[in-house]
Amino acid sequence: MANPITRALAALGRNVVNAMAGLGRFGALAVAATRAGRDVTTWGRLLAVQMARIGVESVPIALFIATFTGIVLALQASYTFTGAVPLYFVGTLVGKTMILELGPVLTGLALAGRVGANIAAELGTMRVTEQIDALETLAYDPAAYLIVPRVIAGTLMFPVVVVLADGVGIVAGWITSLYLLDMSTEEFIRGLKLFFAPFDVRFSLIKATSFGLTVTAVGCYYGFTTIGGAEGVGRSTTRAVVVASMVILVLDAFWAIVLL
Amino acid sequence: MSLRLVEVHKAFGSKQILKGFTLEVREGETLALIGASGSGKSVALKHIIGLLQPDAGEVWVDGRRIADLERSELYEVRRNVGYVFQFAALFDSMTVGENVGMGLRRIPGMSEAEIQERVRESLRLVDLPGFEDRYPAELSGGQKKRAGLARAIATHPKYVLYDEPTTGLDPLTKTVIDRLTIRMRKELNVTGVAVTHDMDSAYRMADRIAMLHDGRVRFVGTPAEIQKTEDRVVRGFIEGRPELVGEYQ
Repeated sequence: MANPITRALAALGRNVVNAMAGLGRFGALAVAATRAGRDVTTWGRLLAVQMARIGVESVPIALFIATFTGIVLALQASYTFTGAVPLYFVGTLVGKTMILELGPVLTGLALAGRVGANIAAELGTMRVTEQIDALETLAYDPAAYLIVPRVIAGTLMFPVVVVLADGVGIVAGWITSLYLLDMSTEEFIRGLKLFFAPFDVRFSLIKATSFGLTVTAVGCYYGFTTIGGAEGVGRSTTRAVVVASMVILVLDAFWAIVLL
Repeated sequence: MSLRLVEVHKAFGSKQILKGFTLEVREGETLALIGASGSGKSVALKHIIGLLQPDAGEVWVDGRRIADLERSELYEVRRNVGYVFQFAALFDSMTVGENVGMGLRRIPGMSEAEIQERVRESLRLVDLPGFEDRYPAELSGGQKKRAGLARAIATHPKYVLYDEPTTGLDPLTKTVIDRLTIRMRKELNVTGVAVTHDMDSAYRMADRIAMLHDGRVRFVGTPAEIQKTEDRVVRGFIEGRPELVGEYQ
């Protein structure tokens, strides 16, 4: 019987091997998707549908989150300043925080749940019911038919959704300032413009684009590599959401380090 | 020879499924591939269409070695091979008509009117006329199998591969599917390979029967020949007598 150290080392080895195998599978799928990008006739006609499903249908949840985030940001800013800082800085804090951080990150995390889970569950079900094999037998490249339109749609639409969320969050903060903090519109706008730089919007868009790519690519990977029936689909869906959320937070720090 | 698998080996992890599987399918015949559950019948079938690649050995379709083909060439081969999945594998977000038309949309130069006509013709052939607008969830098990068969034959393939076409069906529907398989051969002149462990179906539909056992083809012959064989393993399987087949004891 192996001693505890040997068992621990064996478990560590297995985990490392599994992780490397997973990276290899992800790399192979990325290569297949890149190659499939040339098959525009297949994915081109599916792109609009995916843009609607991934982008347009995500707008309500993104705006819901942004609205309440904007309200809370305005109230917490006012509470924190407590007369020591001029109240128009509420506009500064709401604008900066929504655009630079909470707009993209909260939207990204919410869509990791909505979009990432949806993609992993849909493709996972297709995998375990042999629908992906059926595509192959009908001379379709599954990567061109399933992965490329979703990844492109996510990469294009996340920034649109995030811009809307940024805007709605700021508007919610402005309305909160007007009715709950007795601020004027001029004061809020003054604060909003005070440290605003056009780069802030670019920064938000870069983050949103990378989050869109991440959420859809991770969802596709876990969906495509699903094994084991309904239980496997559930496992893939959970993993897709967890991994995409973790990568979003890592990317969030990465972009802050690299670009700020 | 139109379809040929030569000394094919395939393992999943440490489990060796095919251990030198060799089989030739003659043009115009329907060959039933029988064997116990988990013996690797479907694995062998998936090699023919390139869904699985052999660890060793060769797969030939129409004189072309599958391993040598570029992706575009593989798709050309696949346009000549219809595949009927065990559980139909219909795209559940599409109507039956859209399912049947999927393969046709990969054929260059086919107009929408031609596609619709071919969809109607394929559904007529499997006795599902007027089912174009139904969704897979609205079909019974037998209807799903027939819709899957319609999708497989819509492109007028030279070969049709059937993966357990009658599994899970009632005896009447089984007979209907068997007759459709025979009709495919007679009316469309397709060469067929049907994976099954249903001996009644195999006797009804097949010109020849091959038995897969322990990763290799144990027996190939006509239905009459297999019923007369003295091979204990083959007899044990076709007569449902595990005492004749060593590992079942």
